[in-house]
Amino acid sequence: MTLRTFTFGMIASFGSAWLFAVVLPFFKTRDVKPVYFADGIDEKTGVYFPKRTGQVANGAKVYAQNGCYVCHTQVVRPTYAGNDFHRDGWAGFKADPDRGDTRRESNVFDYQGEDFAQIGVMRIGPDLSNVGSRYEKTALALNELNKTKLGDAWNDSMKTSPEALLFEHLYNPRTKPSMRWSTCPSVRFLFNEPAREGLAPSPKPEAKALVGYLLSMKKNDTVPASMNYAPPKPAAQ
Amino acid sequence: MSQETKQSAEQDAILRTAIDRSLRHPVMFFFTSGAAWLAVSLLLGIIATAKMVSPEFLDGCPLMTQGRVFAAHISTLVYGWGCQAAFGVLIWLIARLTRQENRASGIILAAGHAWNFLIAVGTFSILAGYGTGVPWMEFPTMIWPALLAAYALIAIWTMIQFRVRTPGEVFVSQWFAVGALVWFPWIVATAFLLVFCVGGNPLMSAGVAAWFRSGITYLFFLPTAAAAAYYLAPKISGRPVHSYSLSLIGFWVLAVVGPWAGMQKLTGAPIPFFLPYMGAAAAVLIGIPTIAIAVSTLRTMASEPGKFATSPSLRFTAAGVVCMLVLGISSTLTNLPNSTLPLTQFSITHYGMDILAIYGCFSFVMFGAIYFIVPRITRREWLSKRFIKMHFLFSMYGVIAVAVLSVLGGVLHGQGQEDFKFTWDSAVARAYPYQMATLIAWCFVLFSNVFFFAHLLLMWMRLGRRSSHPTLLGHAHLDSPHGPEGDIDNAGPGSVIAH
Repeated sequence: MTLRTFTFGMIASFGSAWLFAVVLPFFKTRDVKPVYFADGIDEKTGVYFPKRTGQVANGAKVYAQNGCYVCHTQVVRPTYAGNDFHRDGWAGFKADPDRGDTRRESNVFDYQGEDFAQIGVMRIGPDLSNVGSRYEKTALALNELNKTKLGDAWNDSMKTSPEALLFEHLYNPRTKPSMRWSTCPSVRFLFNEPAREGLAPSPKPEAKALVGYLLSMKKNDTVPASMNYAPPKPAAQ
Repeated sequence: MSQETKQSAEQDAILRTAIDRSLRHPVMFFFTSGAAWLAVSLLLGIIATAKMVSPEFLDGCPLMTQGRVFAAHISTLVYGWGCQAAFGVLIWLIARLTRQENRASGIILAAGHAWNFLIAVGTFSILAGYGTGVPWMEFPTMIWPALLAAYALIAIWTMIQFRVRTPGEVFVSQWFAVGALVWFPWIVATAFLLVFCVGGNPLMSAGVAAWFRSGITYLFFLPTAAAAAYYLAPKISGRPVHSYSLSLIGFWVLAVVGPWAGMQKLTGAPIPFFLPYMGAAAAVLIGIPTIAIAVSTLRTMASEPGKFATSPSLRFTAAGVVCMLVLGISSTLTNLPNSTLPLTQFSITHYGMDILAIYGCFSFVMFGAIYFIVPRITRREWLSKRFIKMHFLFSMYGVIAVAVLSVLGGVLHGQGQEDFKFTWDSAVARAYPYQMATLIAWCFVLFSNVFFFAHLLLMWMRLGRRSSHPTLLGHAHLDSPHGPEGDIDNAGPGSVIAH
């Protein structure tokens, strides 16, 4: 092989993949085009405009710095690529009391506000793309449970919030007996140790940002049918 | 080598000695500091795996958080050990194959020190919580341009040597070596610019990062291993490369297919559909070049089967090439869309494949090359065949265990993840025994590398045996297993006539 053939071959082989699989798709996807609800198909009309609230940018930084992405993913694959859809709470809820089946796979708007989509490396822990909704549901259920259990002794100051539950998880993921199996590391260095026995540790700003970020991950909005690859729902009776 | 050279055997030996002497300091520096980083990385790997098995281990210490330690483990493995071993081997190989002394060893050595400093700063930054959170690119953003500049200073002289060499045929080993030297900065610069500098869609940044991981594995580590194997196999066996056309297929299929792979790790994520599927197709096709390379180098080595028993270089290289074969076939089998890809995409297979590529395939060939090169550049022979044997056996057991357990265990782990009728903790529990076994295997590998590092350090301090008989694994042999150039002329250049 002569040098000329070699150089040409190198540039052609690597260059074409570099151009067509990396550089062009990168620049073509920089600006996401708005998606519209279709008349007659979707319940809503107009442009799909998802909102994401919370300390997304700061929290994403804490998430990245502590390597959460090694064990947690943030993508719900459509059914053609995996079974994430059917895991309880990952893609939404199968039987939401208000809205019925809310499940959907990840879409490009789910990552807004972040510089880098933390798709993740391995799933040693569960997927987090809907962790915000999951914790809200858990907090709600817990409050209901305590309310019925305590009866008259219940007052609203006893309410637990999804934030409090997440702080508890971050401080020690194995507090609850049902979570003893978890191998999630504790990030208790993001908390100030309690001043005296019996008090809860107070979260540092990093922990607050992280929890804000985690709670911003929800799949509870209605997306246009044109970008929903959920299996078709059974026709209304 | 080149048929056009009319130099006599003595002049040839003098030239070789001069080349080796010119590169002695940088190459030894890369090998020794690389081995030190390997030890650091293995230690971090053991801590990371131990924390996956028992999360209470070193709990609550910010520096030792699972995610940070894991990131530091992979980064030191890739950039501390992998890149440095590759640089050492590549600059020596090209100098030998182009038959020119290296005239910039001082600059290369200085750049090597800079590289080590940057890796140290980067690793400490990751542990201190300043990582970027981009898998395999966790070093803080400002480290990357400096690393690229250091790389340029290391590699540019080698590229110049290649450019001004005596015109003629480019050897098989050189294709792979030059390929690795060109692809590496191209991939790193692209990923750095797109992920950190140009603001893009967060998902495409993740896609580029996945492409980067695959590119470093298949277009830097794999061709470097192939370059060394294509040099060592004919050199030690004393026979020509088994099949030129098979090597040609191996190289060009790798060059055409390799750069497309990587984004299959984002299958199902909202990026353009063709990207993950092109990635999966390329990852499946990676099997072809690895089979071609492995068959042609292994058949070259097998033409002198007796030498497997005696030559440490050959034994390590052969083991590395076998791992390359396993890597290629595993890549084919674990990346089939709609069948195995959903199982392996997010399971511990991911880690198993990385280790199989970096430690199994790449590092074993590098060990083979180091056992070959170091006696030549230090003009001393390895001190102890027992050390070499310990290194080989424990590394081999360790890496087979890590790779087999993580790759196969990962498929079972993935099956558990996909089986949504069972609770999530049962899927996690499936990975647990494999992680436990991986921990034990890493301890074996670390143990083996204590021998390697100590041995290399002694050689660096020029405490090797002053002898013209190479250290062999079997009993004393009459003919040199290192082929015609095997004997080291410690009595001065030219004192041993090459046969």
